[in-house]
Amino acid sequence: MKRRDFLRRAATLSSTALATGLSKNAMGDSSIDFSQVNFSQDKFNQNNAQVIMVFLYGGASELAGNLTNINQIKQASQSNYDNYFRGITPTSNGFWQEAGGTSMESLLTSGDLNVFRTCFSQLRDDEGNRSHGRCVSQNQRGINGDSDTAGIFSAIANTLSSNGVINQNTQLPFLTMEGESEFFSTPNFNLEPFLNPVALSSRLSNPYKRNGADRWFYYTSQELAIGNYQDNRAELDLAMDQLAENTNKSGKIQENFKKRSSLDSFIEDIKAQQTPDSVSYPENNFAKRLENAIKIMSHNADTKIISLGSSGLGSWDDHNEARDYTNRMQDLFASLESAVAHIKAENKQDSIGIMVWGEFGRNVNLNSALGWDHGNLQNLYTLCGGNYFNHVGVVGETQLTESGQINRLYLKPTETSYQFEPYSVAATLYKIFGITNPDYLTGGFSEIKSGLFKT
Amino acid sequence: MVKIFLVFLVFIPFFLASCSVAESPKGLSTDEQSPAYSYQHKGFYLYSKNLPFENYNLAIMDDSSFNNLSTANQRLVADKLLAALYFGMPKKQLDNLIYSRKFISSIKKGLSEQKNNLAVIENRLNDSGDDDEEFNFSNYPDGTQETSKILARFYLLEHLDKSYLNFWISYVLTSNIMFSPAHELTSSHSPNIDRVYNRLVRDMRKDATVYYSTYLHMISDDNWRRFRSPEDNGREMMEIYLFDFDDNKVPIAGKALQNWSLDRDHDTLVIGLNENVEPLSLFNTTVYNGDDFYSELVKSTGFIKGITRRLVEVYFSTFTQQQKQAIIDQIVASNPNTWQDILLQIVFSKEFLLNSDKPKSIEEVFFSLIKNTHFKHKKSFFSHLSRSLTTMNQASMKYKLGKFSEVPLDTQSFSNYHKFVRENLLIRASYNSRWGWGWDRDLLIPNEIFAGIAADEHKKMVERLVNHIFISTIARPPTNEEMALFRGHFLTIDNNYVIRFRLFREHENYSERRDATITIFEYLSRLTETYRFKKVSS
Repeated sequence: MKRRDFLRRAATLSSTALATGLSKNAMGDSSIDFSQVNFSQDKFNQNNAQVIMVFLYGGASELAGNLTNINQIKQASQSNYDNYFRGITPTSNGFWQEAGGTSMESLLTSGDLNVFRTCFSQLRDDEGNRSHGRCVSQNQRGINGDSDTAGIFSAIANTLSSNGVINQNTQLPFLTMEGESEFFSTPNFNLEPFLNPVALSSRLSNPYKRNGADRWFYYTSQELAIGNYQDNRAELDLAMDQLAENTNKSGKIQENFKKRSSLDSFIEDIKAQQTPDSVSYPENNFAKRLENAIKIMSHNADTKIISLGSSGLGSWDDHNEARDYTNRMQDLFASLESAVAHIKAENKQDSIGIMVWGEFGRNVNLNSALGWDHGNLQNLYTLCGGNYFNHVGVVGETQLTESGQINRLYLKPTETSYQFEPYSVAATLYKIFGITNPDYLTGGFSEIKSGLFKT
Repeated sequence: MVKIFLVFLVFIPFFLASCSVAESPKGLSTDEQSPAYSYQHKGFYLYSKNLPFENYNLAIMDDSSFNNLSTANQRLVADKLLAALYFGMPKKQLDNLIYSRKFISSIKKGLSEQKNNLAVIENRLNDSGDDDEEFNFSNYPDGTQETSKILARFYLLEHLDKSYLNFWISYVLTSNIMFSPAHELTSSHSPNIDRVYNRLVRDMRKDATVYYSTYLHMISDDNWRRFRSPEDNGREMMEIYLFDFDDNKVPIAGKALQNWSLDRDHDTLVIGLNENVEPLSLFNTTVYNGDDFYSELVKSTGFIKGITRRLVEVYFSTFTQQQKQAIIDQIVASNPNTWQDILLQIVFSKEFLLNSDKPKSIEEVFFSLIKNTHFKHKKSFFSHLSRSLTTMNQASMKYKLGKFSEVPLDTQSFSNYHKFVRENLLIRASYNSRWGWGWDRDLLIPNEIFAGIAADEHKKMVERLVNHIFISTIARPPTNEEMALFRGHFLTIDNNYVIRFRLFREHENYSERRDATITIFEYLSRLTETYRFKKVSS
């Protein structure tokens, strides 16, 4: 079985989409005047938030968390659901039992999970946009435009820094365990270098260690004369770093060189942390990544955000042979169940919150290739975060819509249901971190309502 | 030859069905000598001669403009051009070429000639199974064997010639979203790497047009293993090649492709007989079936702009959208017909050679450095390289949507990149020309680099060595501060050599010189310019 990477590379499409002459949505602006962003330090302190973002690249089907329309879907679908999937059993709250539903029920019962079933974009429906690249970019920038706007986490970083709640002495406030993403894009302003995210691998490999920098001929005769000379860095080694720093142009490469040594130490520190004996994770790379993310946040309160992706589970772009989707969802929610146990064992359930979503949901027609094509409604799952989130359980109701065209079968919110655009997820994140007018950053979209926030 | 013939067979059913001559076929060819250049399919030519350099619209570097640069800038430009082509030259060879005042025309001429002995190289690459094998291509993880062999081929190719160019173009394209074999997907398989890459190499050898090579790729099993349902494939082809993100066109494409599917058990493309017969409006014309869809897509107005944009995004990743658009417009105005027309127009352009400061890909660093430093491999080296690319998030031919157009520079990707370059290329020296792996001590730092220096002129020796290694690596001499750093370490205050760093001994091996060179490389590994192209000030 090959290890699969995900469609976060879809984000590469986004930058190229910028210059295609697509009309700029009135709500998309190419720059942010951060002086207009209102910030409450009290709220920031009160929430004391640490957020883990799990982004399901490729666009995960909403069906795992919502089988409430499955009978209609089965009747209208091009291919037969029952003949293909190994069980489509709705749980008491309408989750797909064979696709993580049992874990969802358990988390719901314990008050640790909220499921929002109606993250739907009317704007995209109107524009005819179901493209991976654009939707990833828009969701991770939190705005419905193709402009060069900052990523959500860069906007948060800049706000926290300009309000003095994080500074150069804050240790690794932003981390990514999925490499680069649009969450951290900074197209129109220079983010202070210390605010750029640091990248770590799922198993905390340490490429920051510089092997062989203690070769004997790097040391002077005087240094060599000292016993255990390799316990100290050679003067030449230090001088090389200093001269290189003076010579190098500023930019990401130079920043990386500057951070190298401290990251070497940080990783070794985290590796030494033990997961509580009472907690066990499934055996997969995603679970290992989640486990390490929680170890980092438990050990280092300075870390505010970790962008996790969902690499290690497989792609969610299930255009064909969607059967594996159920296994992936099982693995995802089993891992999340372990993560919640871990967070509670560390007594961090009030500060650490986990959010799970992607660029879009999927068409619910099981197509001729036994998969689902792109859709426009998805679920948002939130876990823990007791300082700022209420337990609201399952929110939102959906209905099946048919366009009359083959392979165009979508779930949409019912007319009376609560619903929100994906940009409200960005607004929610902004509010968690003390921004009191998040709609300014999202082009008018406010945070998720329906009782989610404590105040 | 058999494989080449099979490519024709794939195409023949469509070709025979549409042998009429269109009024204004895409990819107009001017060569009336070769009958192949008149072949067309539904209004686009299959083969075309490459545009001569003088027909490029984007301003191109020529001998005159190159020779007008300062000596220092000539070297930077030369190094940049060669690195962009995954090539390099030892300092002495490059010096001679620059001093000839025909550097640019020599490189251009070389790219039109056949010099490499491909049969010998293929024998070396495929020689395995005994203890004396030159390479050991591991198949762990999947895809490593195929990609490492492709990488090793560049290493073995001695000349920057026409065949090298074909391999390079094919590699650039398979690294891109347009032609990525995407072997990370469950529906794709490691042989897809060779299938896609080799098909492109054969296309280049036959002067296939951008239209034909793209068309062939889109109708292949390999493409359908990447985008696997009619809607998915139709959508992605329009997005990738045309930058058309209109979801309303997707169901139309899906209908045209309704009888195309990927067989569930064998990931094989099957074109059924339930072909659509209703007229569908797409690309400002009427299409009915899949062949119409793919043919009209490559003929549509957005195609040349789209594929040019895909490549401009790679080479001008640090430019503004407006600047990129201007470059795209210039290239499109030259009416490119082949991938060479676009790619050589980019890398020979003054805009790229003088103004681009994009981060280098690992291939642009690696192949340049190994040629510059006479690098010698160990058997498993290229498998190690291939696996290391994954840790840098620069894996070859793996990702569904190709490599990022910008080289990943997050802390972890870059640290793995730095680690590989430092530990495997720069501070890794072979024992001598026969033993060990790494840069070749006997060839990189022979006695002749000290020509004209007396045996007791140690300061001059240090300066000559430091200068030699700097220029061989980053195409510039050291600054005063940099020179002082190494003088301070290799010399005593009265400019005698420090014991351990006697750089010249006429009849002995170069071990102390090697250690000094490793020390210099250690520093160079910490410079951003090792990993990033530089703008060249005029």
